[in-house]
Parts: sequence; C-alpha cells; structure tokens
Amino acid sequence: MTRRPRSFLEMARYAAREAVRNRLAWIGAGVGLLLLGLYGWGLHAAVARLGTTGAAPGGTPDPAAALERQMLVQGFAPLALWLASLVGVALAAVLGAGATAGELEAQVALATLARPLSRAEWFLGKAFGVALVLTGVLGGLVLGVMGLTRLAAGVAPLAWSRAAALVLLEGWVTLAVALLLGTRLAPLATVVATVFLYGLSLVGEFLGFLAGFLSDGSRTLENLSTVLMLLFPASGLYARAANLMAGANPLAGMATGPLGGGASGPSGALTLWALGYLAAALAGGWALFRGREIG
Amino acid sequence: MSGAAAPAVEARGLTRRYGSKVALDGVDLAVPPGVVFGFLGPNGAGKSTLVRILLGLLPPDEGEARLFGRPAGRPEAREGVGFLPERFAYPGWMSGRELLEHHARLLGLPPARAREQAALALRRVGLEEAAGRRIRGYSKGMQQRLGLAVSLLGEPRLLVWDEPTSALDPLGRLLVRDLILEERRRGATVFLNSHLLGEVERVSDHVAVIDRGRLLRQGALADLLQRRLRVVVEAEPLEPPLLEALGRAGSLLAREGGRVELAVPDREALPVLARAVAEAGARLYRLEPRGETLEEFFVQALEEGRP
Repeated sequence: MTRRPRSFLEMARYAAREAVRNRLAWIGAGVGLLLLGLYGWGLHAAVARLGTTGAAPGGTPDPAAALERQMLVQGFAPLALWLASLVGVALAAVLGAGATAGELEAQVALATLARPLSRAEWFLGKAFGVALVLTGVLGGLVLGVMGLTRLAAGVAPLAWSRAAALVLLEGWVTLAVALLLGTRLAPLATVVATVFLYGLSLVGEFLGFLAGFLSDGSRTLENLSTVLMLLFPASGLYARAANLMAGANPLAGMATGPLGGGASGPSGALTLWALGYLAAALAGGWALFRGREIG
Repeated sequence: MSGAAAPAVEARGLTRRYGSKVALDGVDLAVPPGVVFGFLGPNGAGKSTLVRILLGLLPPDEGEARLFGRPAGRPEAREGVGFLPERFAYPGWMSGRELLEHHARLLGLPPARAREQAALALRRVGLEEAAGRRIRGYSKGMQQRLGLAVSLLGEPRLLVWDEPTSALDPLGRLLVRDLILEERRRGATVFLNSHLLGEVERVSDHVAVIDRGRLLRQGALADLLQRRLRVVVEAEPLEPPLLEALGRAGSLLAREGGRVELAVPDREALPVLARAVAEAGARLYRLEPRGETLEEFFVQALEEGRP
C-alpha cells in the first residue's frame, strides 16, 4: 500500500479510537440502550394487553387482533426510531465537533499536520473513522428498534431496512455538517450550530405537518417547510423513514404525527438531496480546512 | 534543485501579515544541511510564523519557502521532517507508546517497524517506564519529552524544534543538548528556535537573528562572533593620551579605574594596543582578548536593527 491510502486509513483508525474513547459517545450509547429497553418493555406490555383483549375464542388466529398489532407497530416503531435518530444526531454533533474543532482548538492537530499528510487525508480520514463509530452505535440502536419490534409484536415494521438506512443517512449528514463547522468554529459553537440547524429542520418538519391541516396559507407553510428541510435535511430523512414505516394505513400515518411530517411526508427526492448534501458538506469541510491556518 | 545538495531550509522574500501587523517582512534565509541552526529573536519577532510556514501550517502572503528543495506546504516536503511545536499538545486519551506508533504509521512505517521506532524514541527521551500510561497523566515536562520523541521518529533529515526546553528541568535540558549533538553526528539538520541564548550558543553552528519580521543577521556562529572581538586592557597609569591611542585601535566600550574594554576589528589589533601602552610609558598588567558572547551579539544586532 502506498503512503497516501495508508495515511488516510491511519487517520480513520485514530479518529475511530478517539470516538470510542469519548465519554460522551458512551453516554449517548447508554441513553440509546436505555430508551431501547423502555421501548421493548412498553411494546411488549402493549402487545400483551392486545393479546388479552383481542384474542378470538378458541385460540384461533384473530385477523382483527393481527391488524391491531400491525397498527400498534406502525404507530410505536416510528416513535422509537425517532428517539434513536435523536441519539444519533446528538452523537454525530458531539463526535464531529470533537474530531475537528476539538483537535484544532487543543492544538493536537499541529504535530499531526506537520507530518507528510495532506489536509484531505486528515479531514476525510477523520470523517471516515468517526462515521464508522457512529454507524456502529446508531446502526445498533436502529436495528435494535426493528429487532425488538419483531420480537415483542411478532411483526416487523414496514420498510424497516429502508427506514434504517434513512436514519443512518440522517446521522451521517449531521456528522458531515459538524465536521465542516468544526473546521472553523470552536467545539462548543460547533455542537450548538449543528443542533440549531437540526432544530430548524425539525421546525420545517412541524410546519409541513401543520400545512396538512390548513387550507389558507398552507402553500406558504409548505414552502417554508421545504426550505427548512432542504437547508438541513436531517430531520426530513427521519420523516421519510417514519412515513415508510407507517405505510398506506392513514391512521398509522397520522400516528407518526408532526415527527413524520404528516401523512404524506417528504418525497424520495429528499434522499437524493441528502446524499448530495452529505457529499457537499464533506467537500466544503475539506475546502475550508485546506485554507485554514493552523496553530 | 532538490535532494542532498539543496539547503535544508530555504526562504526567499517570505512575507506574512496579520492584518496591519507584518509578522515576516521579506525574509531570505538559507540553512545548510547537517548543521545546528539557532533561530533567535525576541517574543513576537516572527520566529514561530516562519516555522509554521516551513511546515505548511500557514501560507505566506509573498515569497516562497523550501525544505530540501521541495516547496514547503506540500506533504512530500515534510517527509523526513520531525517537528516539536512550542505549544505542544497531544491527545490525553492515548498512551505515549500509542501516540508514537500512530505518528510512525503516518510516516508510512509498517506496524512492526513503527513499534520498534516508537520504543527507540521513548528510550532516547527517557520515557520507557511511562510508555503505557495515558498522556493526560504526564507532567508538562514529560509531554515535552514525548514531543521530542515524536519528532525523532523515522530518523528525520530535518528537526524543527520550537523552544524545545521550555518545560524541562536542568536534566531535561542536558538531554536536549545531547540529542542535538547526536542528531548532528548522524547528519541531521537541527533548526532550533529558542530564547535561551546560552543553550543555542553551546550547540549551534549557524544562527540567524530576526526582529519585527526582518532578518537582521545570519551566518556561521564562529564567523559572526569573531567579527567583533573584545579586548580588556589593564594599564597604569591610564592617562588621556593613552586612552586616545587605545581608542584609535578600537572603540572604547567601558572604563573602570585602570581597566578599559575595547571592541576591535580583529586579533591584529592586539600588538597595536600593546605598543600603544609601551609608547605611552605605562605598565601593562593585562591584555585579554575575548570573543563576543551570543547574548552580546544578539543584543547588539537588535539595537543596530531597530530604528
């Protein structure tokens, strides 16, 4: 292997180890596991309750009970996924800020960047390493939601793999933005700015939900919602995931509530936008970092 | 020009401004390979700015810098360069050994060789026993030793040490002196950025003095200091005619009773001074030439360079 890929991989390895040793990462993972446990316990209790009230006489399969279980899953699983995505967003902001802003502020990057290492290898290597850790934690939580749902309710959430991929993409987009901002801002400012952007996207999602109820002026709200979700597509990706999981059932669709962006939810084009956004954020971060003065 | 024939460090017309403040003002510098180079200047003179430009951490506004003929700023120019920053900081979550192995791998060394180099560097700075401990538990002096070890990895051709003894005790300073001499013997170039003039004088072959972004002097230390020989003359009686005669051979720096100190152009002034004392009918008790110290040279260079 030539020096270039070796340097990239070494930076990725370093960043992954740094992220794994970050206490906040462990706290995030712990909170995620706790939420997962509560979700599993709650879903199990709800399904058991359905079981006692909805069983057909003689133990024969009751189509109504099965439908109830499905609806329960379609309503509960998106909420659990939202909690997982929230943990993912928080982790992405914290780990991303630590990987760039933290190292630059602490001057740790000084000795590393004096090595025969390009700025691209440093930045993209770190991005890759942190993304691996984030994918591990967030992927574990998301798959945990899906697995627990299947285990407790006997029914897998609809489009679970696509929904899981969208929530992972949400985490990566947030991470890329935190890495980008971290090339210029202090660590705390990076976290605050990233969370602020996420907040804007949540507001956009909520406005989209409201627009579904309004006849007058709903176009303005819809436009505003679209702009906010495009500005930072993180929360929109979750909304898309929630809508996929809710399926065609209108009641379940409503159950995703404002977090699901309403019954229709964002279109598939948002996924493409988010992929482009992710690439642009990484390219922008690299470009900003390349021009940054160190020390 | 690149490779062995090129200067280890070369700067031409290097200029850097921070807003209206000029940190470097058209600096021309050449450091021959294999020497210990002392880069001297008061606080805020532009020393660290120059170092950062050399290592590609900061772009110049004008001019260019090269390391062994390669344009500074490109990653390949930093191959074979070991750097100890003035404000050294290393990730507290790593152990000393892990940090060194990480840096060795960034140099492109395979894992086994990286481990070997890390162990060697730790031994050289006396940190073998602390190698497995987290860096956050290291004292400031230990961290600076660790920084020295990081810079020594991979047998660099050029070592850039920015205030390498700022956190070290006297034993640590001796260690740095020994390391410098060992590296010079190995053929490496050591670019030493330091306030400690005595330390620099002991080990440097070449020096440069910078102030307010302008390079005031540079050259071989022996040449620079010999240019300004000082002589102490003790004679009785030291009458005004004798003082006048002595003053013709050099410039009078100080007088105390029957003792005067003169700056003379070179050693040929010594017999002239002895003759002047004899011709004045005075008794000569002492005629002692002494080289200028680096500190004196430094202060003089700053005074002459300032408007």
